[in-house]
Amino acid sequence: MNDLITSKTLPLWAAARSIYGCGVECLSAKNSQSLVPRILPSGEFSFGTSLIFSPKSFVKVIEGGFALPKIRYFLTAPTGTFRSVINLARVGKVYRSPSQIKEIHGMLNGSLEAICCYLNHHLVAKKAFHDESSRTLTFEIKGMQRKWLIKMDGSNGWQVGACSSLDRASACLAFNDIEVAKNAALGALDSWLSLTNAEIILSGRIPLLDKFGYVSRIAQNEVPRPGR
Amino acid sequence: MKRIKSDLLFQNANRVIPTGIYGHMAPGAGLPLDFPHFCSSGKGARFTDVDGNEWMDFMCGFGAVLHGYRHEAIEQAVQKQRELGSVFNQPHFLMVELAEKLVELIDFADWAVFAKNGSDLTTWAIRVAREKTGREYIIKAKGAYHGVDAWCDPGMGGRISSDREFVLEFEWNNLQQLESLLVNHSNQVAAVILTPYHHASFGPSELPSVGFWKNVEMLCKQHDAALVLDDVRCGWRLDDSGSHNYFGFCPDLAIYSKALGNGYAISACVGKDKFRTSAADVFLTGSCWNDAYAFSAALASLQISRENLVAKSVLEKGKYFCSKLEEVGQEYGIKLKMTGVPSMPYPWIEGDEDLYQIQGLCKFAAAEGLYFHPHHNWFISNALSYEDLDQALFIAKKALGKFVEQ
Repeated sequence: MNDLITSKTLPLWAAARSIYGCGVECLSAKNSQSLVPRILPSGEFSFGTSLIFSPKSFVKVIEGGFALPKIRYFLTAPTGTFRSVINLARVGKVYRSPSQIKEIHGMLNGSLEAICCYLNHHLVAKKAFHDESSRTLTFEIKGMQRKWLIKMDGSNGWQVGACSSLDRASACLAFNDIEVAKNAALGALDSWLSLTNAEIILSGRIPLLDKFGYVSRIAQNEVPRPGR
Repeated sequence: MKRIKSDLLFQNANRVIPTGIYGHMAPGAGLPLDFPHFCSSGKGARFTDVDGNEWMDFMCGFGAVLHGYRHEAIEQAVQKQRELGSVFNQPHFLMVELAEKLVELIDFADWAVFAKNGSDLTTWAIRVAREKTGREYIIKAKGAYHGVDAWCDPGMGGRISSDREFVLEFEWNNLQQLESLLVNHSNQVAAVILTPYHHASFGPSELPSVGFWKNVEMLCKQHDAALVLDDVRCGWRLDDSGSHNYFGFCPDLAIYSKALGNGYAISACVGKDKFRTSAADVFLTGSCWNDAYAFSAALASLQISRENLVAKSVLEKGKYFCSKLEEVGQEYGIKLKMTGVPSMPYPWIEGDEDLYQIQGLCKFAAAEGLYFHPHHNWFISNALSYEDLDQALFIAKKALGKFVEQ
């Protein structure tokens, strides 16, 4: 599938992984499975086993418009397809107005998934992280146990996962509270200001976070988001 | 430490300046919650931030100040020139005086040119080397900082793939790698550009291993590549006539800035006669580069360095301070090693690869008014007296105690 991820398909692939990443946090395991994304050789994007969109329709779905998926699977695999549609709508709702903690966790997880796609497939990002494969990054919200770890996982490339509170990464980004984390995930945080007013606290290997910040800004510019 | 105006100013700055403060002084590059964002004044080895907090300084404007803030003799020289003017249609005659001074001071120098920043002339110098040799490649040490231009800047934005097409890198002190690059790119390397020792940020400084410089010099000669010394950061802190004397080698071209003007913006490139014609053919100019204030500051600064043996002085002060600070670290079980040369030491804690400990230590030092940077080499100001150093050590001990307690 890696061959199918090009500079043209990467933004939508990152969006698809982000949706899945959000689903993993917000939905049951069974429901999140219905959002596992793939790029098909035809250039279409699929969720689960049977919900398929053309790139154009997928952008419409993300941006909140109505878009028709490939209709034939509604006839041959209606249950699976319908489950994917429902779960996609649930994640869309989270992205539009996250309120519960697990939804904000979902958005953060989704954002980190999207950035990992860029770390693995974007030319500039790959180059920037070429020498960093032995290093790890953690993301946390002060006062909460849930932490995210980004690390290189062999041939799978950079992956985001959970980590224990004992894990000390090469660099750490801590959000001061859940509201800051939400704003960050929504792309509504002024990252320069937030560093000086303690909304975000950076520690450890700062150049690694600098690079990560740069890649995240590239992703933020390119990946379609609800309401954009 | 009180920090109200600093934060308000930063908010304003962030509205009208991308990132508020950029480059090496950006809050994120240091301790954004502990260091002030803006300063208001300085005198000697102390500066005051916009909230009125006084700091004992170990960064010297990131090296731009050697003799202390507002050094009397330098300020007097600049004041005298202020009455006459700064930039004219033609260069001020002080330019010639300064060039003569540098040619007299620096043993291999036959000529000098001037600009404002180190980057202006590191980039120009490699172009001179390219002009002289007719070759394309430049070799530098991996992780070394040579300025803000696209061939060498440490950032990520605004680059195109060809920017570094002709820049090769080797690990500092690895002569075998350097030789391989020269052999594999035979007759294609215009210059090897290096700092006197490896003083990269975010890692311990590395001194040249025994024979390193003599071998670099020999390899450059063998391969007809220019040896360019980037003495921007070290200049006048290791030796009053150029850092090559400290390590015993002879470059073809050398660039100075920072301490040269003691806070007044000026850089200089000096070179051997054989590069004179090439230097003439590589265009060089800038709007305010013929700035007589900066020329007068540099002349005064060089005189002070010479008369007071300032390089020797800051090396000795640094040695005293570093050894005592390491002892304080030992007392608390912290394996602190002040790496590099003592006049511009980089603090490194054994086992602290990811810098958490040094960040913690510098935070506590900042709370006590000591400006210790966790990610960059420090600079010992010649304005620091031994009493100041003892005071700093006393405060550092207190900070270390709190750090360990935490």
